[in-house]
Formats: sequence, structure tokens, C-alpha cells
Amino acid sequence: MSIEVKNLSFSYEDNPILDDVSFCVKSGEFVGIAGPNGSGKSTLAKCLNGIFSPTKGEVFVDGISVKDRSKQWIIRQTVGLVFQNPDNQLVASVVEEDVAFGPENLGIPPSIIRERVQYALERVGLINERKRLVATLSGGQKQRVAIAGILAMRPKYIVLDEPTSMLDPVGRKEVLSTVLQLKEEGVGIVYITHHLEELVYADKIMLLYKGRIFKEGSARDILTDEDTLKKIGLDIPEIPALALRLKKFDVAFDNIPLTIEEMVNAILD
Amino acid sequence: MPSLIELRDVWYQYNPNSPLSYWALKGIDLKIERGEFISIIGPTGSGKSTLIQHFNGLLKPTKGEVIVDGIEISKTKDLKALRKKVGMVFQYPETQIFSETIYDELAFGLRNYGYSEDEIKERVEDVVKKLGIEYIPLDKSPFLLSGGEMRRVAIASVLAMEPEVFVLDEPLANLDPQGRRELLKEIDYLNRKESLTVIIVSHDLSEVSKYADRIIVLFDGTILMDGPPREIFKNVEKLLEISLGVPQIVELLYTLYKKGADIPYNILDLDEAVRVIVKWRRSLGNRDKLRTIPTT
Repeated sequence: MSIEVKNLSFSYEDNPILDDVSFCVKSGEFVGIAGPNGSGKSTLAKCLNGIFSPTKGEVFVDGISVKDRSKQWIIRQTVGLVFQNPDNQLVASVVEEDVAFGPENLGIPPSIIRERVQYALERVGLINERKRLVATLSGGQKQRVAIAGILAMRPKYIVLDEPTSMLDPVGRKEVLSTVLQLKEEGVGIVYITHHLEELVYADKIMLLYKGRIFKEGSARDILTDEDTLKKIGLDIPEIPALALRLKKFDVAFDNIPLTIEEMVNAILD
Repeated sequence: MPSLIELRDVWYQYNPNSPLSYWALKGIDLKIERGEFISIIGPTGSGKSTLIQHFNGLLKPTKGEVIVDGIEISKTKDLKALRKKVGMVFQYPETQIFSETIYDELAFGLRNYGYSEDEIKERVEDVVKKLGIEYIPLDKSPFLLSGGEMRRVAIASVLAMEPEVFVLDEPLANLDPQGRRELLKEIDYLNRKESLTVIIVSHDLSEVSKYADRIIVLFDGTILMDGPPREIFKNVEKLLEISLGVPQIVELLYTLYKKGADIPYNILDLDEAVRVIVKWRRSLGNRDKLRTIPTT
């Protein structure tokens, strides 16, 4: 079971946005996608659940082509999308009503909806806020309500398009740890960002540049490749940047560390 | 000469006399001098936006005094003059763009203030250079620009008024790393070469700390810290406690320090982090000594 992207190209009014992109996301896999503004990241996200239909090539969700309009509902339930600004995604004024909105539209019986809302709010750690007004939540909490709204649809994959760019450092941590937990529970994750330090736990990272996959590899391959990142206008995270510089002063590393913890262990060991 | 902006024991209450009332600012004393590059940092809900709205009279203090260039904002009738002195760029300013051409967008404020078309033209051409967007044709629709370019046009439209102090609320949000770096450099240039007083509001210390010469940390409506970045970073523990992001390298050095390394952690950039770590390792002499550091 997977989302399979095969030679995907997408043009908007004759402007090519995506050009021959291929990759695969399996259940329980965390795939990071990074690229500068205008690289086609958001367009790619919208191709993954059929909001946009490929101009050329194919996107298969568990074997079903997103071009198949008769299967639209199944595809959108299978692949949930979380956008940058939670205010654009939240529809109801009370937390639990917002989370129930998706399943209600699927015509699911109320008793099951209640279960699902409970499940989704527990997953994102907001069960105690279920009666609160959405407007009174912090940015990080709102984004987690948006994720809960997607979870209540029981998707097998979640695509997050720069979900933390409007959040403060605490909000970022909240969203990221929620995402990592979902991955552990077997949800396939596509995480789009230009904050590369958020991708240290990704199973694989793809760098998108001018609509093409510029490079792909493991988190360690990509996040320590300073030259490639610089070429496409992204910043290497501070910890690997520091490690690469320390290497020139005879500090030995078996692996270039990606996190503060790894770095501390490497230096003190 | 009086300070450019002075706040004397400023308190601000939202929704007074209602069950929803709360104090967003609780006794702010603050002096901002000409030519400073200040960053106001604080977690969500700390009062940052409330504070800056006092600088141009959008909000007036419930208690206390705000004095801008010698004028007390609660008493003045001439808010127009005040708002010309204090240029304010709000969050996501590109969402406020409405003109049909970039030129009209940049000229809008100036026309409202009655400048001649010649003068307007001169200022518009000047301001697009300052923000590095002179390559874009001015008769183009601003809505056809990329997000980063639209952000610059919106910022330029405020700068065209030639304010004495430039206040920007989260100007870097949603820009990619290169866009952030470039915009910060341009603002830094305006501060250094044009002596423009700059105040940037942010919830992230990492980037602005490289440029700002003074950081004001707000927390729960009060000023928790006020000083140069190096002094602020001495309080890593406190900054993390109130959920502010500090640069990863500062957090790293602080972690090493807590584990017993004799190492300063209030550093400003990567090169300094390298120097500090290399020097510390050399001072230990050999690797055996490294192992004696207690790992708590």
C-alpha cells in the first residue's frame, strides 16, 4: 500500500510547475520534501490527493489513479491534506464540531463520529480542549485541530504543506511530535517545509527545485550536503553545519550529527 | 534631545469593564533612541503586537504615557504626522496590496499625503532600489509577483513615506531561507547607511540576533530582558523556559556547559561556535580528559 507518483508533470496555463517527478510513500514512512519558494512544493501536495490532476504521468493512491473522478471521495479520505495556515482550514467555532465536520460530510452515523472525534483529539493531545472556541486557541493548537480534523477521516496518508511556518517554536514542536507519533502508528507522512531541521527524523528527503527532484536521499545524506543545499537556496541546519566546520579542526565524527543530542554525544564520547 | 520613542509605565487593557477584560501590557518602561536596530521577541500572547501598536497611536495606553519624538500620543490631535514618523509593516503585509500596478501601490501613501507626482516618482524609484526590486517593471500588477516580491513591495510602500522609525511585525514569516537572509540584509543596510531606526518583532531569536544590536524580550505583558544579543543569550535556560527558540548552536553549547564543559555559550554565529569548541578541546589537552567530564 502506497502513494506512487510516476513521472508526474503538471502545468498551469502552459507554465510547467512540476516536471517528471517520481517517488513513493509507504504506510508508516516519513517523506520530507524541501525546496525554495516557487519550487512546486504546494502544487505537488495538491497532486497527491487529486485536487490537481497530473498533466502528464500518474499518481496512484493504493493503486487508484487520482485522475479517476469517480474515486475522488475515496482518494480524499485516504490522503488528508494539512495546509500552512490553520485559519484557512478550520470551519466550525467549537473544537469538536470542527473535527466532526469531515466525517459528518461522509454521512457516518453520529455514534461513530463521536468515537472518531474522541480518537482524533486524543491523538493530537487536545481532548481536554474539545469544548473550547477555536478562536481562543494558540497557533500550534489550531494546527493540531486541523490535523485532528484530517485524522477523523481515518486517512492512511497525511500530506502537510509547511504546517509550522506560522507557528512559534513551541507550536512547531507540538506539531512535529504529533506527526512523528502518527508515523509510528503506521500513517504515511509527506512533510513539506523549508525549515530543514524539522526533517532530521525523515526516512527520506527529496529536494525540489524548479519543479524537478534535484536530489533525494536519507536525512543524513541530504542534511549534511551543504553544497547542494546552498545551490538551491536552502540553509543547512546549524548542527550539521557546525560539525562540518569542526571536522576541519580534527574533530572526528563517525556520522555527521543532525541533532543537539547526537552532537553532544559525539563531542563528549 | 528626547528619545525617539519613550514609554513611561504603560499599561494596556483589552475589553475593559467586561468579563473578557485582561491586561496585555503591565507597566512597560522603555526608551528607543535614534539609529537603533531593535528586535522585540516574545512567545505568542506576550504583548508584542499590542506594544508596537502604541508606537504610532493605533492603541493608546490605558495607563501611562507614550511619547514619540517629544509628542505625547494620547494628547496629540495630529495622528497623521505621527504615523508618517512611525512606519508600520504588519504581518503578511502583502495581503493588504490592492492597487493595479506596483507603481500605484508604492505611490498610494504619498498621494494621500499630497506629494507632487515628480516627488512621488523620485521616491518610488529610490525605494525599489533600496529593497532590491528595481528589476521588476513598475507597471506590472503586484498580484503577478511571487510571495517574496509582494512582501517587498508592501514593505517598500511603507518605506516610501520615509519614516523615522520602521516597525516590522514578523517580516520574515513564510519566506524561504534565501528570501529571509536577503530581506534582513536590506533592512540592516537601511539601518546602517541611512540611519533608519528599525524595530523588528519576532518569535524567533535565531535570525534577527545576527543583526539587532538590542533585544527586548517580552513575557506576559512585561519586559523580561533588555540588552545586546550576547547578554540575552546568557539566559538560555530562561529563554527556553518561556518557550522562545534560541539558535541551535547556543542550545548545544549550553548543553555542553551544563555537562561540565568550561565553555561560553552566549555566542552569535557559527564561526564563533567553532572557535569556542576548538579552543575548549585544545585546553583539555588530550582525549582522556574529555572522558572525565561528568555526564549528568
